[in-house]
Amino acid sequence: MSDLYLFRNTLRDLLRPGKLTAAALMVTVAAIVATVKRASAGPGLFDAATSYNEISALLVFGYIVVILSLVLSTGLIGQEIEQKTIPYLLTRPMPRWRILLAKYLAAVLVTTATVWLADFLVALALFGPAKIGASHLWKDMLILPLGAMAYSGIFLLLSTVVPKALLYGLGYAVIEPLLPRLPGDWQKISLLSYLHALAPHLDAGNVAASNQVSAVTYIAGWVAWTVVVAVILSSVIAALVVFSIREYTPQEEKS
Amino acid sequence: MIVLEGVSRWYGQVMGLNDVSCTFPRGITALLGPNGAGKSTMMKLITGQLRPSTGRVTVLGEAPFANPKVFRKLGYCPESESAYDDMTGREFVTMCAHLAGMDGKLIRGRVSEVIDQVGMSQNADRKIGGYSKGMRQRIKISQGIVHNPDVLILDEPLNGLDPVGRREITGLMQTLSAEGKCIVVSSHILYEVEQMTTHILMLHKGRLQAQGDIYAIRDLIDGHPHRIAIRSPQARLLAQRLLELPYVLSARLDAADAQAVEIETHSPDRFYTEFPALALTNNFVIRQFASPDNNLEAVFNYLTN
Repeated sequence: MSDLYLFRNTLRDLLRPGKLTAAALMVTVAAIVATVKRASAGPGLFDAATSYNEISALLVFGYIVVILSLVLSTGLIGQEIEQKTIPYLLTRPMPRWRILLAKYLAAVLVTTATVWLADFLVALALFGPAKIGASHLWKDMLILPLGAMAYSGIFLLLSTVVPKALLYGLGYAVIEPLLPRLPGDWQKISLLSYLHALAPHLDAGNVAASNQVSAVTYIAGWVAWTVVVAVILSSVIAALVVFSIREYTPQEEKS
Repeated sequence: MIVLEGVSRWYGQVMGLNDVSCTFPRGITALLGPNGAGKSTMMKLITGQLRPSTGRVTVLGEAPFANPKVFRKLGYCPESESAYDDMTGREFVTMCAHLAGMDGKLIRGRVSEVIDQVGMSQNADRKIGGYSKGMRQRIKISQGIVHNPDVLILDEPLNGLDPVGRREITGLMQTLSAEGKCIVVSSHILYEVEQMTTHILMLHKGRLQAQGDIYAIRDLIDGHPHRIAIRSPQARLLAQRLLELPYVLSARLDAADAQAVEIETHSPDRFYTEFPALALTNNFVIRQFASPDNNLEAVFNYLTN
């Protein structure tokens, strides 16, 4: 019951108007980019499928899911420490790992809902309501929650280990979408490459071709699944363990 | 109910608590010390937010760090004014009750009860962001007692409260103490806690300086000369009259301020009681009256020197 209450409470907190600004901004940007792309294409030159692949791969998968996971996940603990409310959570008869898990799941849900909405609006703007079924929207909607879980897990772990995780995470979020576009094996260290491999129409080959980017390494589906699931499990479990054993007190009160 | 055995706590190179051994029985124990004495560190060790660097802390027989078994019976009111500003007071206390694992059916009634106990019934449905310092203090105390804990740790609970609020909260603590709970209250104001309990524990620079009955410690303190500074247009005459009192050891006039006189006494309480009558009888005009020794820092100076 406590877990469910905390989950609902975190959800309610994440959905407060002030906190929704970042999410609303990203959804709006995605919809505007798609609309402009369609409107600016010359007559007979517009290819909805290619445009969708580009925007979905580079913007929705490449930035929105990463940035949103970063902002929401690092805030789960960081905000409690910053606002000095963390003692109210840590002195309750609830194992710490359950506190963090409830908060993590709420953040994943909000991230997923937002990226779903962004991707849906992109598909709607490019294909129109009648042909939206011809897009890869529904397949992407299955993969996007995995991305939200994986990135949220990574940033959650970061926030349990270092203060100012948002700042460090921002550096990662800037580099991450660039890695799949690099030649050679560099893309293998990017989680985004594996997510692209799970949504094959978004794989680096297609996107690279449309962007005249050089060589691409093929990632097999089973490898992509293994890596993404391993990242989710290892990062979340590590975050729960670290949170259970580390001390968290507001810095300025250490006297 | 709470035992510390040879407990030290370091923050890097800084020592927060230095080899402290003490026990906290049922009833109210006041934890006294100036800022930086280690009071908050000790409270964080007791509430399982920090681990001791060396030594052992036990609460109800268990190590408290991240221990849900302990937290079921422990309530904590942190010093920081911070709370969840977007929530109402009632939502905040309700959340804490839920996280304490209370039965959902009982929560609504219990939350109203504790909110009433701290005198917040009229403001409970307002956002905490709009609360005064005193209201925040009251609502923080209510979240600490909502699950009816056996051990209650209150870090500077009287900060920000007006005199009426202080009396009400002091009364509440005494009621809880009478129910057999172990209550630890920190403060840096000696006279504030005198009204609450006679059992005190004094910390200074991370070390345990004194522990036990407050009157025994006060007697020890009163054995040292106590300075009192007075400003009066009749400073010279006043000094003369004060020196006639048997418990005034000396009176010193200030060369830089013709109206200032500073006396030393072994019996500050007696002096405070009798001085108003003396001033009225002799028609002394008193512009200022202060005791540089009447604070905890001075008490610690006495004890440490």
